Amino acid sequence: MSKTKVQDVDRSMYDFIKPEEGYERFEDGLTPEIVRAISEKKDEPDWMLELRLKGLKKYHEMSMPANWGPSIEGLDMDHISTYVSPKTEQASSWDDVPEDVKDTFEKLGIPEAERSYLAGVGAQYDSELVYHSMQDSAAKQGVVYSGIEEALHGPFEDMIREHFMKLVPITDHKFAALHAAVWSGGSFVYVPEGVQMEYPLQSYFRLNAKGAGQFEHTLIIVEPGANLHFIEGCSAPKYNVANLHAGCVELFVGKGARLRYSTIENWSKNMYNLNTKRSRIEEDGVMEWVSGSFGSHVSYLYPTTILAGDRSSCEFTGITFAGKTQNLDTGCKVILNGKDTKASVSTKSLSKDGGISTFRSSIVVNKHAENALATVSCQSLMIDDISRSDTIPAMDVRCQSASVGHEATIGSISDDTVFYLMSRGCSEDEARTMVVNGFANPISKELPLEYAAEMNNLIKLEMEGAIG
Amino acid sequence: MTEFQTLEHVNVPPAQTWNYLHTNVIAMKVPAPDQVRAEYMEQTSPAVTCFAACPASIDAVEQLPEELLAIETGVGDDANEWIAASATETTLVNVPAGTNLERPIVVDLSGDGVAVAHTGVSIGKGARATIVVIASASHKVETVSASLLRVLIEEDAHADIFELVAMGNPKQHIEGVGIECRKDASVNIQQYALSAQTSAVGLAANLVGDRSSLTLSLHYLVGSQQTLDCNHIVRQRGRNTRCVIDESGVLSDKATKTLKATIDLIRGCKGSKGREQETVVLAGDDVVNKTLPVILCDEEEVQGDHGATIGSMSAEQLQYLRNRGLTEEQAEDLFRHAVADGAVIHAPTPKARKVALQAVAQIFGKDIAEDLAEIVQPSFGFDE
Repeated sequence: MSKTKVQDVDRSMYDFIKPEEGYERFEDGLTPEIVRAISEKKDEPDWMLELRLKGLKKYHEMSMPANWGPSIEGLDMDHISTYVSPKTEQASSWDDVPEDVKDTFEKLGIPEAERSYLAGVGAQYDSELVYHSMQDSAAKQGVVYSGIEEALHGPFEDMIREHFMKLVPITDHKFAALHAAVWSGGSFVYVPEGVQMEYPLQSYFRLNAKGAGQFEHTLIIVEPGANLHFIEGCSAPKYNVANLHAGCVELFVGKGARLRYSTIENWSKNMYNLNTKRSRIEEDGVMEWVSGSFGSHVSYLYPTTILAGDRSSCEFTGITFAGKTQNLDTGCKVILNGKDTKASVSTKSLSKDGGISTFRSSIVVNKHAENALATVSCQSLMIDDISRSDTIPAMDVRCQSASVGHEATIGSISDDTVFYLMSRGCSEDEARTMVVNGFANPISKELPLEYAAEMNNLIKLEMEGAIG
Repeated sequence: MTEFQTLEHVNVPPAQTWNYLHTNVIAMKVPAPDQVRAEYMEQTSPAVTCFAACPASIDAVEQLPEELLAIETGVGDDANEWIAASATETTLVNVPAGTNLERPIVVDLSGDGVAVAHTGVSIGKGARATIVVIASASHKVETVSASLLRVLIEEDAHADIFELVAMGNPKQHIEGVGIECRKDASVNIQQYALSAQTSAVGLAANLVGDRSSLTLSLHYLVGSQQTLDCNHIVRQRGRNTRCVIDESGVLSDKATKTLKATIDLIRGCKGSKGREQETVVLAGDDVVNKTLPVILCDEEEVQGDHGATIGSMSAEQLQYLRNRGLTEEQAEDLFRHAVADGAVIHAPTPKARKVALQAVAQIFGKDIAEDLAEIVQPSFGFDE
C-alpha cells in the first residue's frame, strides 16, 4: 500500500509578523546590567533583584546535561534579547490595546474566546502583559487574576515572596536559573478557600519579536476546597533565527482543592521551548494536566507534580506531535510522598516527516507513600520511516506497599486498518487521518470544546496531504 | 596493599535520563589490573572448560578476533577495558559449523580469589551450543570477579546461555555479555542473579541478521544490603527479528535493584517485534527499586511494547494464600523460592546445579536445599 505524503502544517493562523517599530528592546546577551535594567523597569522590591542576580550567577555556573536530551547548540544567548516590549501600558479593555497588538490577538481568537466562555484573560505580547481582565462575578468571590508584577506591588507581595521560585528553585536547572534572572510578565492567580470557578481563566503568550526570549512567570494558588481551570496558550511567528521560551509555572493546590491546567503549545519551529512547570498538591487535592505540544524546534517540557498530601492525586494527559525539523522531548514527572496518593499518566505521541518525539517521565514513590498507586501508559505512532519515536520512562519505587504499573507501545498505522476503512468508502488520506484522530481522541476530549477543535484542526492540517 | 580504581561508567544504557535519579550508570571499585592478574595467576584451573569429547576448539589467545571484539557488551567500555586488562587468559572457543555441541562450554569463576575471564565464542553456521557462566565463591573472602563473554552466532545457528551469579555477601561481580546473531540465528538466555554484595550484569545483543531472534529471562533475588544493577540492550537491525525479554524478581531487606532494558528498533528492521516485561515484588520496608524500560524506534513497520509491574502482592493474592494457611511472609517466600528453584531446575551442568543449591542453602537453609535436591532431578544427563 502506498504511503501518505504528509505536508507541513499551514500555520498562517499563527505565522504572521508585526513590525517592531517603536518597541523597547534590550541589547542581546546576558549581563548583570541587563538584569538590573529589567528589575529597575519593574520597580521591584530588593529581594527580587537579589534573586535575579543569584539566578544569573547560577545560569553561568550550570551546564546542560551532556548525556541526555536534544541538542540546543543552535541557541546562542549572545543573540537573544531578553526584554522586548511594545510601548503600551497594560489595559483592561481591548479598545485600549494598540491596534497591531489587538489585531494579533483577534487573529488568534482571544477576545472572542473571552466573550464566549472565559472568566478572565491575560494576554502577553513579547515581554509584557498588554491586557488583563476578569469578570466581576469572579472578583466578587475574592478571586485575584492579575499580572504578577502588578501583584508584587500590592497586598499580595508577601504571598508572592513566600511562593515565588520555591517549587522551582533557581538551582533546578540552567534555564530555571536563567528564568529567575530575566523573568518578565506572566500571571498571578489566587482562588480563595472554597471558591468554585465556573469558567476557566486563560493566559495567552505571544512572542512576536525576532531573536528574542519570553520568560513569563505564572503563579497560581488555589486555597483549600477551591476549584479552578486555567488554560495556557502560546504561539509565535517563524523566523530564521532562534527564539527562546523559558517560562516558569508554579502551582499550589490546597487541601481538597482541584486545579486543571490545560496547555496547547504551538510555538513556531525556530523556538527553543525550555519551560518548567511544577505543582504541589496537599491532602485530598487534585491536579489535572492536559498538555498538547505541537510547535517549537526543540522542547524540554516535563510538568511535575508533587503529591505531598495524603490522598492527593494527579492525572497527566498529554499529546506530542513532532514534524519536520522538530525534536520534542516531553513527558512528565510525579513524586508521590503522601499516603494513599494516586497518579495516572496517559500520553500519546506522533512522529512524521523526520520529526523526533521522545516521551520521558519519572515516577518516584518515596518511602512513606504507603499504598501509593501509579500507572503510566504511553503510546507512540510512527507515521513514516524517516521519523523517530523513543520512550524513556523511569520509575523509582521505595515503598513496599506501593503499586506501580507501566505500559508503552510503539507502532505504525496498520495497512489492514487503512484497507478496512478504504473498503468502506474512505480515501487513503481520510482513513489515515481518521486513525490519527482516533489515536488523539482521548486527549482532545479532555480539552474544552473550542480547544479540542483547535487541536483536531492542527492534527488534520498535519495529516493533510496527497497519496504519494 | 591493594590498589583500587573506580570504573565510573558501568552498565550505561543507550538512552539516558535525568542524572539525579542515579539510574544511568553504576560505579564499581575494583583492584588495579596488575593486582588482579597477580592474584589470578595463583589459580590452578582454567576458567573456561568444555566437557570431554567436545568437538569445539578452546584456545588461549593474545586477543580475540576483530569480529568478536567489535561486539557490543552490556557493561560498557570502562568495564570491558578493565576486564580485558585484568584477565590473565583470553580464551577463544570455536564451534564448528553444523555441530550440535551436546555438552556445554563452561566459564567457571568459582575461586576464592579474584577471578576474571575474557572469553569469545564463535558458533559456526547451523551449529548449536550451550554456554554456562558460573560466578560463585566461598563466603569468607572479600573479593571481586568478572566475566566478559562475546558470542557470535552464525547463520541458522543457535545458542543457549545460562548465567548464574551466586557470590555471597562480601563479593562484587561484573558480568558482561555481548551477542551477535546473523541471519536466522537464535539465542535463548537465562540469567539468575541470586546473591552478591554488588553486581553489575550487562547484556547487549545485536540482531543483525534477518529473522534472528532472542529470548531473555532474568530472575533475581536481592536481599540484605545487596545491590544489583542490570543493563539489557537489544538492537534489532535485521528484518523480521524478534525479541522477548522477561525480567522478574524479589527485593527484600535493604536491597537496591536497578534494571535498564532497552529495545532499539533500528531503521531497516521492518517487520520486527520487540517486547519487554518486568515484574518486581517488593518484600522489604527499605528496598529501592529502579526501572528504566526504554524503546528506541526509527523504523515505521515495527512493533515495540514494554511493561512493568512493581509492588507487593495484591490484597486478593494475599487473601487467596491466607485462605490456604499461608502467612504474608510465607506467601512472599513463595516468590523467592520460585526464583531460586528455577536456577536449580534449569541448571545445565552439575557445577551449576551445585552452586544453585548452595545459594538456596545460604538463603533459605540447608534443609530446604536438601529437599530441593531430592525433588528436582538434574536436567542434564552427564557427570563432570
